[in-house]
Amino acid sequence: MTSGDAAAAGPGTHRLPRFVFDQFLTGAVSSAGIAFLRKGQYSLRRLKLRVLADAAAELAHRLGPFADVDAAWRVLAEVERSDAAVVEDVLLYPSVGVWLSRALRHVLGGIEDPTPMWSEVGGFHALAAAAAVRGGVPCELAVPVVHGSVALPSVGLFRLSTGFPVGHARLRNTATETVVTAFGSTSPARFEPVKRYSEHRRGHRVRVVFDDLDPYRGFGGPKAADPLDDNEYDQWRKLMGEAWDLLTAHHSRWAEELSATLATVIPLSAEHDVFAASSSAAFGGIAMSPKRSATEFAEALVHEVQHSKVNALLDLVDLHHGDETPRYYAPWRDDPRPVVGMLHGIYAFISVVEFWNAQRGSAPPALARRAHYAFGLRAHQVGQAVRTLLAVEGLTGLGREFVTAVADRLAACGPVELPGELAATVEAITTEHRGRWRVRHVRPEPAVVAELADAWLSAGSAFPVVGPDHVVLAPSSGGSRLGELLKRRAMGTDRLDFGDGPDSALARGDRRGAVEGYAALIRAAPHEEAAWVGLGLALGSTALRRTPEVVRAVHLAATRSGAAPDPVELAAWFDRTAS
Amino acid sequence: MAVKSTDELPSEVLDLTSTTLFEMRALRTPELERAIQHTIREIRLGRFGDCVQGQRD
Repeated sequence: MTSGDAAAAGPGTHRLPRFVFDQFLTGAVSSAGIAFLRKGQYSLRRLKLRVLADAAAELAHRLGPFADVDAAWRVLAEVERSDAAVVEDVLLYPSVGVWLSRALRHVLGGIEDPTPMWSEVGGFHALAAAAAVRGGVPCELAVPVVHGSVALPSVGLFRLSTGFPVGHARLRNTATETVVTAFGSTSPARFEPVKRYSEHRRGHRVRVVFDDLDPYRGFGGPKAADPLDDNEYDQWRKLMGEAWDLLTAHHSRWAEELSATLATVIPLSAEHDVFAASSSAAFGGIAMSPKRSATEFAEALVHEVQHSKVNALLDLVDLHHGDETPRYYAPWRDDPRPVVGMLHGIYAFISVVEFWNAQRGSAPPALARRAHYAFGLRAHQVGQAVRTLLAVEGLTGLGREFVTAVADRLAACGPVELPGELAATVEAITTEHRGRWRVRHVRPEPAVVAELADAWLSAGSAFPVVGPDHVVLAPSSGGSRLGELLKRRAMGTDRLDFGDGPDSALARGDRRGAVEGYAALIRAAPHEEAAWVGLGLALGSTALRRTPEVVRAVHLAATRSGAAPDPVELAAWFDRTAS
Repeated sequence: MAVKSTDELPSEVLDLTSTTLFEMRALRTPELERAIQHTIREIRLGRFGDCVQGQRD
């Protein structure tokens, strides 16, 4: 069938070979499998580009210098005719997906943003210009100026002498040069090129751009370039090289997967509290903060590339047909999550469990404790989330296979045996986190709370609370001091300066002191969520560990009746029923 | 890695990788029209396809 025949018949739909899904279930996907995911992503980018072109054409009167979207389309099509690989590479550049998503929101409504629509749609012209420059195709296009620069995705950045935040310039590309005209002044466009890095070890090559220039690299609205200085770039390259060495030596299947998927690493500043991040709009893009070791760098790569895979898989097949309400407890998050978020989490973190399980035996002394801790914590968390997901209604057959496969991979890691007191500390960390999540987001049935309060006040017996949780999305109250102290203990931080208070007492192992401290806190401030959770840990109370929100609500209800229960006695009263 | 099966999982995503951009700009087929309308509907429903997955330190 010729290309013309295909066009006449109309395009068909993608079909994902079952072997690719089977590879998903076992963990790493081969380069042949990733190629199918990339094709799916490429089709979706092309479809969205067409939607954008159609919608923008209707809004031409509001697009100023970028009104002629078809001019940009023609340039892109010309480049494709001469070198289709260039267009594919530019269109699949991770930040292009982020820009495309934002531009569509602009033209279809539903975005409130300081960046004007005409500038954001102008990204189409920048995309076409990038392809033309890379493909050596002559063109002349208006291009957006953002934060005083012309940015061409996958090419680089040309800084204008002005610092105006948003505007436009005119770019002319010929066989011999690229020039930019702005404010009546024309000059050669000497682009600060993107930082391309390549490494080859043991038959696996990784090619990546350290993206510190693109306005859309941060998975959100356009932001100014923040180029690494030479020392910083040396450090990023050094760790990437060492991470690649580690991955190819000990995790060759993930190395193959990363080699086929990874496109950009977006350096975040050290001030970010983000370990690493990815976006469903940016296949192959991974943002991360600076890492202290190649092992952590490799962990972040392996973890985040799983999200890219799952995003691309979910674009092609359904794993879930149920509602999308965020109602589930994900042990690695403070907020309730929808099923799709849970699926992402278990799939990404099982790879982390496997990664650290393999590293535990070979980690250098400085990282040994971290390796055991990361393995134990993530294994515990994945196990808990898998149990939640297996009880969820609405998983498709593929979705159930997906979750079961994660359970199988967790089981294959063997029993979670941790050295010394680490197992108890990990257990305390996970219980504390779940407890805080419950008191913040789970609302006990008021009638049940009233009945329990009556039982307490009349010296009756408690009874088990059954039924589904009523989960609400409550605002975050910030991090947990106890959680942080327990983490420091788990990591074996050299200087464990715990300070005062019940959290410190508990982290030091002084449970009696912690009980007294938490009880005093609750007497002074009965609403205090963290104190109830800490008390549950200090007492080893079954009821407070399982359903702290119920004990706390009954305490508040009984207090309103005039007699504030002693929190320790109330917990013991619940525990007599729970045990 | 070994290929375990040659079965295929169907998808509703149109394969536009073999349609040139010149063809695509003017292409009018019921399948493409459905895909375009589906994309517009999803965006208007707030499903932008740009969720960020992040892990904190």
